[in-house]
Amino acid sequence: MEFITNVFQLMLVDRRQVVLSALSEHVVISMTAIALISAVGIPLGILISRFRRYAQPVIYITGALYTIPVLALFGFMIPVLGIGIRPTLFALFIYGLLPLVRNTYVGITGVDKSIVEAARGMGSTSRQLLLNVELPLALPVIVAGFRTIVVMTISVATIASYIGAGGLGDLIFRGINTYFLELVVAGSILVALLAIVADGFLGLLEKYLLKRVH
Amino acid sequence: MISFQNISKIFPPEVTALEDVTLEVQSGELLCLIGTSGCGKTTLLKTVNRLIEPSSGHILIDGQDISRLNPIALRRNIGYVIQQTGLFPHLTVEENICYVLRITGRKKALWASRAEELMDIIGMKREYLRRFPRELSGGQQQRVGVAHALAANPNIILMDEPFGAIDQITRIQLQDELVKLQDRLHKTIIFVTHDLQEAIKLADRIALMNQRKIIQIGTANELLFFPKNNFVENFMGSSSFFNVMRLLPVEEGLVYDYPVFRLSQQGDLRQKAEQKARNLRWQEYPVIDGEDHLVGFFTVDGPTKGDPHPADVLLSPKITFEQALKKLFVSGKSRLPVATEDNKIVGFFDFAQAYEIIRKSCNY
Repeated sequence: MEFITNVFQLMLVDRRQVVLSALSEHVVISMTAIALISAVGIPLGILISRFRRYAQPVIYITGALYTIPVLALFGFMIPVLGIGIRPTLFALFIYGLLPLVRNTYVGITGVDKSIVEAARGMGSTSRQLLLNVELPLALPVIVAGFRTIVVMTISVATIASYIGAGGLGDLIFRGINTYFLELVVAGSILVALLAIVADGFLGLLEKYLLKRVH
Repeated sequence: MISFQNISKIFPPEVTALEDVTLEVQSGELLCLIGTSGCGKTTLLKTVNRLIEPSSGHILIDGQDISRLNPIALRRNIGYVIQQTGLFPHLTVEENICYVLRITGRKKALWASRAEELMDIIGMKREYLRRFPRELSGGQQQRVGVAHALAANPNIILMDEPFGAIDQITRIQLQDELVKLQDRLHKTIIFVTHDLQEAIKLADRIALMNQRKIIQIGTANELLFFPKNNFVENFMGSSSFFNVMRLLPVEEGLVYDYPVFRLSQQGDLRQKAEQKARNLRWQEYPVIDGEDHLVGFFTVDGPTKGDPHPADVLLSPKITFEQALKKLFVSGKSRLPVATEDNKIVGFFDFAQAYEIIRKSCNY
């Protein structure tokens, strides 16, 4: 009990500034990575749904990248991009690409064939088909993919502290190195909380979208 | 007019779906494409809005080769109704109906009034406009599907088994509504179905397909009573008693040499009439004037009183054998005069004759 009080004392009072800046760093890194992944992943998913013969290779490649263990990936990054924020973002980007590309692709190609054909039969251009029919109907699946990458990015960003990215990982690793358990737990709680809140919010969004579509 | 000229379709590598199909659909006609599964009827339908491009042959709409038209523009001028309704689940009924208006960039201000107009046409309450498709019954969804197709007021409508997934009672209701709608709108409709009763009920003409080819085109009666080959005969079930009863019009089985009493004769009409009745040993026969109009019936017990030609004894030449026999039984007579709307006698419907015709049509 005393331990828990200490943790919150540390988090909310003693090291408030440090904790807050670590938290905001973490949020900034994660959000930047998520923005990058979305900016590339969603268009890429759409693109391979238009040009289906590229779908398998693209999903295979992103899938292969996804299977690289996090630490190994960071290891590969360091000689090329050095340490700090750049390799971190790059690693997170590579890591998060697969779920979003795959879900975008599966979401669009999974739209009921008869609906797509009706839309085409009524004279939709392929742009209108995509924007008015396919994307809105694929949205729940795309959001589900987005939800996966958000949670994943938030947790993987913690490990990125190893290569000097900063963020909540700093608190945890610093705590481990100095045997300051309260700090380890404080960092962990915040990472978990961040992931849970983001996941919960996106879960609600997904549920709402699903209800609209079905 | 839609004219299919030698249409063939081979799906790569070598699955033939259509083989040299030639067919003309007249403007304002409802043509049913009917046949067993996989006979190519849906493929043929989809060549009209170029969802499928034929491997060879041409399709002309009002003389214009559609392969030279922009497919998007072509499709916007053709209504399309499919079995799974094709409604967009994420759009309201109004947004669904107005989809074509939206993609053709019609002003938003026009949508609402057009949507309301269409709801009136398909006989649905306007309050449904705000609902989503999932909140409607299957029959209502399909009605909206029809409104969807009518939105841009196309001359041609393609319907691909639109009522196939709907329960029997609602289907019959929707068919009746389509008949009424077509009586009013006179669209050129190609209607794909595998349900013979549906085709007979709806079609001006039926094109029967089998194994990628059109086997016979004609009215339901032509296919039923003059089948080109065994396949048509078997498919139409020509020997089916009910088809004959429901489809054969009375005018196909009239007798003309039936005794009548003409008022234009000279002399004592009453005496002559009684004489005639005695000679013929008939209790009753119709009386007509000089222009073949039915005036009444002469009976030995005395002339009929009241209305000389009550409508329930007169038959129209267009009614079916089923209806005619019903009237005959109700009247208690063995023969009834058949007359046009202005009471002009065209012949007689006679029980013995009807019996022979039904036997012959049913191949008994």
